[in-house]
Amino acid sequence: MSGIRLVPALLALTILALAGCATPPPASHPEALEAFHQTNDPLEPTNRVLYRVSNAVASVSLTPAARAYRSAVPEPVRNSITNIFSNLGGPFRFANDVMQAKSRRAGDTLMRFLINSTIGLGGIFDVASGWGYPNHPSDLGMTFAVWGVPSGPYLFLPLLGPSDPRDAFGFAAGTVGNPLRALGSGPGAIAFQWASLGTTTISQYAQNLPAIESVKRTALDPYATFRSLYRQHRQAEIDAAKQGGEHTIPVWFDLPKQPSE
Amino acid sequence: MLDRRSLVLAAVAVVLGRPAAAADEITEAKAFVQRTGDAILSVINGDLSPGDKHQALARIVIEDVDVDGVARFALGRFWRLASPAQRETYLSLFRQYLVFNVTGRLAQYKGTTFKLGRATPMNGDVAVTTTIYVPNNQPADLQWMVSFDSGSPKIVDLVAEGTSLRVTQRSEYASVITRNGGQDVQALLDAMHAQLKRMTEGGNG
Repeated sequence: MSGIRLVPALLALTILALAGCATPPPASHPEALEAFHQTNDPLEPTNRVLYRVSNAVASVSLTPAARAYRSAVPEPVRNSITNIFSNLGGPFRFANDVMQAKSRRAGDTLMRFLINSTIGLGGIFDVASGWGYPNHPSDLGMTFAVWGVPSGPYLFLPLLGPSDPRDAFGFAAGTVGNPLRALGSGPGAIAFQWASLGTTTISQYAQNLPAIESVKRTALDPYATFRSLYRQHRQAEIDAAKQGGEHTIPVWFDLPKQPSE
Repeated sequence: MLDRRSLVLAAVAVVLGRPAAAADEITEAKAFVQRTGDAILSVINGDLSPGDKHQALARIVIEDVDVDGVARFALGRFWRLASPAQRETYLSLFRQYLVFNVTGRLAQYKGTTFKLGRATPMNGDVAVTTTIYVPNNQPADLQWMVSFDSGSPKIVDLVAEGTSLRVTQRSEYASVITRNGGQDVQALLDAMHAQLKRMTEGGNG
């Protein structure tokens, strides 16, 4: 059995293990009740425990690794590594753009993959952005959202951090369907898959480290701040995906000036 | 007596009159963001001593941000729970927090430039998009929400990558109050007080 297949199983177990629930405020406080529903974090007590445990684990593993990575690898190289892994995710993003029926975004993703894999030397350089094919996130969680699947309650998952059932399921399914798995299931291929997962995780974490540490240092309630930031950020990505696709002309095309500009 | 034609003309005038007013605000909001951004960057990239820089930035924050409006938004439904004395304490703590937080952060952005993007009306305010170029960082989009409610343009929010500063602040404050019983804002005031003390003692936040 391939190691990567374990991830969805672990996720499912984690979700099942989330037993502790917050008590909603009484109906006599309609505003408090509304706020409770808006926060949509009925598993808050459990989530907070997982948040604390994750932080404790990260502070002796991921954080020092990310710090070391930041100090050992110069910024331009770090950016190139981010670009290479982002480029490897191109086909996966393309599939999601197609499933979302967003032709313009799918076209952007396809052109980015073709340009950056060749002229960008395997993704080291992001040439396509400058040519009018901007990068955008696209994953299964977003696809489900575009299809109208509700997010479900907030979840704080070990390793993954802020999430919800829709994103967690999307992540699990996406790991199973990762194009890197097409490399085969020999020991070399599996080692490469894990290494790429590890490198992606550390390089992403290193990129976000200053922001994460700043929130932890300054926020009165970092857990609530991360929850809010995650929700807003994710919603903005989903809104962009939903609205994407009106324009079918690359930005370098000489359009007449918009009157609203 | 009004005939049909003048009614139609009046309707057209109303419809045409509205975008004209909005277009005015859009132009003004863009000019305001350009001015404020220029003022901030000229301090950050200037030759003042660190202390003078903090003071100059604090002045810009107090003048160009609707600080009390943002503070009330951030407290949300708990504003009505607070006593007049608590409200006063809260506004003062929030003002200090905002000034310290903004000035402490901005000082690290030496060499930064920005480019004005498009401006669009949003929920009665104007959202002005800028692209910020921080040395050694990817360009980042920052949206400035400009309100004209007070007569002159004021910043009421900053939105980066879909995350709003005031919305985030509000959910954080709500969480602190709710976790301390949800009936009294005193717990929040105490926490803010301790936070300010930490920030001022520990250098920039």
